Amino acid sequence: MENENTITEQQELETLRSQMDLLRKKLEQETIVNEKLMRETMKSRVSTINRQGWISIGVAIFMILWMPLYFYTLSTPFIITTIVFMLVDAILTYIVHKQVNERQLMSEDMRTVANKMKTLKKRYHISTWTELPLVIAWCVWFCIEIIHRTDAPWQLMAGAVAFGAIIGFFIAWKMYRKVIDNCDAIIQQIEE
Amino acid sequence: MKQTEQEFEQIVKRHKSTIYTVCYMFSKDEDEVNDLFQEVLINLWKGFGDFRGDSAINSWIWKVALNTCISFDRKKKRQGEKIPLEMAGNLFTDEDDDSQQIRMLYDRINQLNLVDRAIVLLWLENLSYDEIAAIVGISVKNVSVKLVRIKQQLIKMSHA
Repeated sequence: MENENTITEQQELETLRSQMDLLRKKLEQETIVNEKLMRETMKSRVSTINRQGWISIGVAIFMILWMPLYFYTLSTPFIITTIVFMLVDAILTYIVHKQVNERQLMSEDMRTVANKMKTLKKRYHISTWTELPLVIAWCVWFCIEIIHRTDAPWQLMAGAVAFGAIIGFFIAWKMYRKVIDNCDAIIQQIEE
Repeated sequence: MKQTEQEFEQIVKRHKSTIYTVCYMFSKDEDEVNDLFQEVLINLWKGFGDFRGDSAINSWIWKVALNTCISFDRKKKRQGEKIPLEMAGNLFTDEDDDSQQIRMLYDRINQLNLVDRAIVLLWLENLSYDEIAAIVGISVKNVSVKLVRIKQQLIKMSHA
């Protein structure tokens, strides 16, 4: 009886293999890949950093160039602090993404991919929550600077800064959640 | 066309069945297969420069295809132009005997979780336990334990 079961099981597995052979044969007869698909594929740029990383670095560089040009009326310590802060942010973003090397990520084994995603998530989490109090302090300082160095009513300036800060936080939060959710989805799929 | 691009194109054409098989087994319809296939090609292209042939090209293709299919965000719309694949048949709808047999295989494999799906596909492709272990990133012993469980699951499905 046990022998019969083993034979049946073996047959079942052989059926699976023969079905797989059928699939392979069928696919070999298909063209599947055309010139257009190949051209479109090879058009995609190879980057060590993903789009969000480049956005963060772009914003930081923009701020570094923009601050001295348009906010020269603000105090020198504030401008220097802002530039240093943005520079550190750009470098940190670059490091966080580069160390994970997203270009090579998909060529790793599945467990390594999950581990690297965990590392990316952890680093991104740490850098975001370290920067948050600094950003809040910077916003307050910026508000004080604006109020003291412009003739406009302080309520208006404080309101404008607060509005900008809320929008900035919202965008940053969305970006943060997107990266974390992407990482979580991959980790969960592999470790399921 | 540059030499690298020609090499890449040849590799893709040689391994099109492997790539398509993975995409098919991880998709719910033809449209998703198209999206996944394009995504796999992009990831292969991105990693092609770093691929030094340290591991067999076959293992590399399997790794990229499986990782892409497992991590692909199906809720997100694929970026870039959508190019249909050159397929005369449709494995999801064709009614000939072979297609029906293939769909029986698809229906069973599709019930497994994603990692088990990957392992059984590698086994069905006759890869050795060592190769499967290297692609999945687990020990050879773990592969054999998992395969026993997966095979039992597949057999149970056929009796259900």
